[in-house]
Amino acid sequence: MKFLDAFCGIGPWMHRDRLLPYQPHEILGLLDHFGIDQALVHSNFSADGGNAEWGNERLIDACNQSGGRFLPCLSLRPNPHRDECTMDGYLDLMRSCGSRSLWLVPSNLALWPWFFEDVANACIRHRIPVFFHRDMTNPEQLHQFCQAFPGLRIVLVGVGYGDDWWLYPLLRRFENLHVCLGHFYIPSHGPMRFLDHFKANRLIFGSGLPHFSPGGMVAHLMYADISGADRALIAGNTMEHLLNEVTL
Amino acid sequence: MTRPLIEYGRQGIPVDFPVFDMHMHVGSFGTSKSPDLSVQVAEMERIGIQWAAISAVEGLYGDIPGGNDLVADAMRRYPNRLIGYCHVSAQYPDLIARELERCFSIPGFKGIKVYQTGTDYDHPLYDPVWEFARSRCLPVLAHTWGGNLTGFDRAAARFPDVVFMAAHSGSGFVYQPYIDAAKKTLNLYLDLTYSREHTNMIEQFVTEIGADRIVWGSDVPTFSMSQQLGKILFARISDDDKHQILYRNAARLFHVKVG
Repeated sequence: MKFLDAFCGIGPWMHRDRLLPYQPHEILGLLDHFGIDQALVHSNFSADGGNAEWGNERLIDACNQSGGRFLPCLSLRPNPHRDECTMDGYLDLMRSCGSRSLWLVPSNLALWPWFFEDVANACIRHRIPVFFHRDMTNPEQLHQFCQAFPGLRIVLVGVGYGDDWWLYPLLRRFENLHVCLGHFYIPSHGPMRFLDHFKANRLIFGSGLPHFSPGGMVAHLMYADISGADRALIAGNTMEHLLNEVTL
Repeated sequence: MTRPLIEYGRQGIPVDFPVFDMHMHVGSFGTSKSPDLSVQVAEMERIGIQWAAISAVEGLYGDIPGGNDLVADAMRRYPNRLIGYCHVSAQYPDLIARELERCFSIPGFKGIKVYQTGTDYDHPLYDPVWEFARSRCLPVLAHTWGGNLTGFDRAAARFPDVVFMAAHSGSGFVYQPYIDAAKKTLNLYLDLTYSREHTNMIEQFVTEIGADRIVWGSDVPTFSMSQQLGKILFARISDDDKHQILYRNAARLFHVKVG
């Protein structure tokens, strides 16, 4: 069974704790330890508020030197200035570096549909899965965003064990919304309970590296009382399928 | 037991050593109904967790006698799997002596649980609790959060014969206050129960404090039992340290024979 970590950052960031690894070779070593085959990686620098283009350049370099273990997930922070990368520029960059997903970084926690219209429509057109972190939005904004762009393939990361009360209704309404396990979507009775309500292809394995260690998540999935096919979908097949459907 | 412990986690193999979950709950939270206790115990059996020490969610939210009744009932249903904490609170000082006497007349109660609800643990209102723990040789588990031990370490220093276990050590990735407190206070134990798994933190605790004073719990039905177990199975520490954390320490502190 293939493990593809859909939630993994690399490189330095502003508020790093001294215990946390950040260099690409350190992350590769951890992937080996935890038995993870590949990781869809984003730039810690960009995700933490740094210049997205700066972070993306270094991310692409690291991916190119990873022997195919790192798959680039470029960070996108919309910016109105003409000298910044446009959506067409992003699509060209994605084509050139083999990126098939975007890490959306809304400024000031503002996931406004009108603001992201061009980005979302381009991603729908090219079937590009878009990631964003639960801490960068709130359930009401997320609902508005999903409602405005029902065809957009969204992977929500950073959801917690106590979020089911609003997450389940949202998942019922929007079939293109996916939930990443990382870094703490660990409600009691684990994936079994989720699969009573939704198909396995709505749940995606991810760790939250380097902030969070993948061991608990791997065990959460490997001990789950679910079919081997469902386990494989969660571990990596669904994410891989989403990436393969991109039409860039 | 010759298989490296990481392999259990990698392959999802039920553990065949007597894992002791020293921080589990029964009952339900407000926003999410917990799985039935029978589901919880079936999961213990499926994964291979032999013992769990439980307190009741309802007690945490204020119904202290009702919560302790729930624990007693759960232990009656599963006497070979569950032992109990008697929950008391300084917010209800009139209930402290009565609940302690009542609980410890019931077989299965083997520890005391306290929670951060507004009175620091070193407040004199808690002294009868620590005195009771000392007289009966009972370990005490206290909720702590984000490096704020709210006097638990100071109470531990005043009662060196009592085992004090600080729940959620390292929560919020604030690990240094727990390390500092445990270094100063040798009867203070670190409970690793915590939703998140900060990279390298367990390894840091073991390096700084030693595995002899670290205990493992799941916090079920709040979290996933297997996810919490996986944190230790995959940790980059020795297998001997993992055995120490997963059951040897708890068995010793609760005077429970495992295996």
